[in-house]
Amino acid sequence: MTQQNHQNEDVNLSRTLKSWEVNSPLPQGFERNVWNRIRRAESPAASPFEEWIAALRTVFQFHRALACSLLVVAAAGGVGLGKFHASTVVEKTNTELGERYLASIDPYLRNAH
Amino acid sequence: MKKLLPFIGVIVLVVLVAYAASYYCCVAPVRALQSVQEPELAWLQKQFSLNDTEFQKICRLHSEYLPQCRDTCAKISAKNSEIREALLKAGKVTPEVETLMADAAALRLQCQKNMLGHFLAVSHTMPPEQGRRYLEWIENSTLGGMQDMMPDSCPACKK
Repeated sequence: MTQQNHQNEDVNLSRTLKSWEVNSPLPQGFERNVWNRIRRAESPAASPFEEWIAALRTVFQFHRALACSLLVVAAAGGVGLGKFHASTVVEKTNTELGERYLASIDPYLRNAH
Repeated sequence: MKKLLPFIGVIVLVVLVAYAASYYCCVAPVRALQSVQEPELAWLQKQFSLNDTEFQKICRLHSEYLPQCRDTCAKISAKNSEIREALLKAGKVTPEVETLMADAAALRLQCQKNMLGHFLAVSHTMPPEQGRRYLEWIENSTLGGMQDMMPDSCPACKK
């Protein structure tokens, strides 16, 4: 009796599964990601460099806008820091060269130094 | 978090490369100035936007002025030695010491006149606006600076 019920349920389940249609769209790059995962799982252990590249790819794949924004901010920050540091060096060098010129033409300043 | 490490590494790399590139680009012109034979004159050319003709004239004025300046300095130094010797010998301000002091003062006056003459000649070689700027800077740095220093550096003025 119980076995017969199970068979009926299996038949019902099979029928329901056959009639099931997926209407919601798949996320972007779903198939590619699935194949990538399969490839990664099947391939021999990746080198650390490959792992880094794969991790970077993942970041750029799923958070492209944020990653690009962060890169732009990092570049701008680096340029700003470099310019700031350079401006102090340039100012110091200009002052030194100016003093050197003055000392070359003014013996009173030369003796004071 | 582990997956973010490569990205953080890239960010750090970008910051370092951008920093180094902008630093070297900004510092390169002054480094180039320092590597020439007379960096102070090269600096003057850049600072006062002098063309090659003006710069050549100023270099000539500079090289003519320096031996003259050295000569006057040597004369002042010799005169100071004479004053010291005369003072040691006499132990008081004798007419001879006074004459020597007057000679030293005249030499110092000559030195300052030569210096001012050089400043003016250099400023006249520059375009008018730059010449004015040069004179203003040189006066503040030499003559003006000396006047400003007087009240603080003179012990008698402090009392």
